[in-house]
Amino acid sequence: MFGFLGPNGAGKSTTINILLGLQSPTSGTARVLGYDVETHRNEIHQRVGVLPEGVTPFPNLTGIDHIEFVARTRGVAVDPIEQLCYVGLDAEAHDRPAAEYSTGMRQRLWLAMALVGDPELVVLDEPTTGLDPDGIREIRELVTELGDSGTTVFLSSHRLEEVEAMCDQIGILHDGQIETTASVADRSLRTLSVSVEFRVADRSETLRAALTSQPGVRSVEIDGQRVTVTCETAADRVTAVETALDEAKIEDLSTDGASLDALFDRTVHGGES
Amino acid sequence: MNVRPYARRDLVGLWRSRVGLLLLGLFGGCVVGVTGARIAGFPLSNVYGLVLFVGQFLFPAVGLLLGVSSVVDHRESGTLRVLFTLPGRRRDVVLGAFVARCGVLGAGFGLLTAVTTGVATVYGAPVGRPVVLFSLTAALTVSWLAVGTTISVFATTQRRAFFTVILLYLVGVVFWNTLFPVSPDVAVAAMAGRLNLSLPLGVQRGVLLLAPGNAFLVGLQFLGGESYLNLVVSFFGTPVPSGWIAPVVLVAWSVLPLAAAVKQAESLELS
Repeated sequence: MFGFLGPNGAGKSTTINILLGLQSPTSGTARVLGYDVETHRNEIHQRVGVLPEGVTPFPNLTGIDHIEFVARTRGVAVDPIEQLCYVGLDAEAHDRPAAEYSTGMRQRLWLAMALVGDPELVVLDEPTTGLDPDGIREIRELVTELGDSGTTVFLSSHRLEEVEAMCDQIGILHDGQIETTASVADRSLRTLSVSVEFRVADRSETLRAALTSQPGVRSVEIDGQRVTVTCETAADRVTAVETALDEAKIEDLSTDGASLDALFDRTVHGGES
Repeated sequence: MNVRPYARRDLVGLWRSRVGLLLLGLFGGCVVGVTGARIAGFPLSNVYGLVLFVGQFLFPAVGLLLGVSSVVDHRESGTLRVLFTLPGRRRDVVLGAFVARCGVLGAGFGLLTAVTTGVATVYGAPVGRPVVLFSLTAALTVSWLAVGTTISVFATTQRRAFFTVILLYLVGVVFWNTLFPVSPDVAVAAMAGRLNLSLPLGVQRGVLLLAPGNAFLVGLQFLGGESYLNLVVSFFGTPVPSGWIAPVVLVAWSVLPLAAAVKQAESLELS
């Protein structure tokens, strides 16, 4: 799963448009799954499913109509009800016109359409925009499951935590250039720190000793009841929280500086988190 | 070519939309009108005359309005991005929209022809006339549908498309189809004179006959009988232009705009 990040105006949408053959590059070439986007548009479309950003489905068509339409264009046989149930659309929604769908239902419908025919690559453009927290979690679970099944996912999102949680690889676009590509688990992210801050009722010094000895903890600062722990990765931060819970009574907790957040900040703004 | 899925999607969408209801009302009204008029004692030739004179203004508008919504609506709503990222050529999207609308019109004109033919059979009138009349009217409507579809592909917003359609209706239907035939020798010659051109009569008639509505009128001689031939003579003078001008011109007005629409769709940039 590849996370495609960048600030507004960086060229994310233009890049996606070029990759999908919706816009021609002013210079250079682009290939998707080995096919040139300008000369083999149809071959690409046969192998790619797309979840567009902020597009209303065909208003007079039901959920089932949408799936059947895409299946016919792809020349595949699918069970539309099974497809809609897979993305969490209830049975009562299957026969309703898509104009009556909520934002979350529309996103699920687009995802179901994108998955018709088991495409080799799925392009998701801001898949959780406009969703409530439950909807975001459900879409993330579906996308993660999709990635685990072996499908290549290209996820464009402005939600850093979303990309960090779901993707293996990331690319950060800035001023039309890919400035950074990295594996979410690799060293380039580990060079950036994350922190967690506790307010403890007691035993802060005992806590310092326990946290300092933990691998991945860079520093522990204590100011009265406030303990700030700087870690190398988000995973180290979770371990630090677990250690703190074992050693002291935690009254409050806050986190800062997600690793990808820091990388994004450094790439786009040239800053260090 | 993989037009069928797109045509089917458009057909279902149209059928469930207000457009479907309006067309149902239009053709249903025509069916009731034709049947009711004959039952009330009006000769069928009078009913045909009414259809002919009302239809040559009404059905081009229907075709244009039906066509203009075909692609630009998807462009504004964003669904054109989805349609253009599905397997199949972009021409399939355009032709699918056109074929679906042709299907709706075909069903309407088919119903109208069937009912009118039935009425003609019951009252002992020539049964071939409604077939010719409604075939010509359908061809006229489809030619403007093609023009509307083409405008829809080229336009970037619904508003621009709508204004272009109004302008084209005024020029291509009201002006070319109505004002010129009133007195073609005077009108065309006067227009040419303003441009310091001296057009031979054949060219003047050629200019007239290129209008879809005028080609439709020339085709009325296929209805048979002296009165319909005289009608053609009253518009275009003698010698009477060949009736085959009608299908040739109407098919050309369908094919050429669609070819331009397909070419434009293939190179359309969606940002």
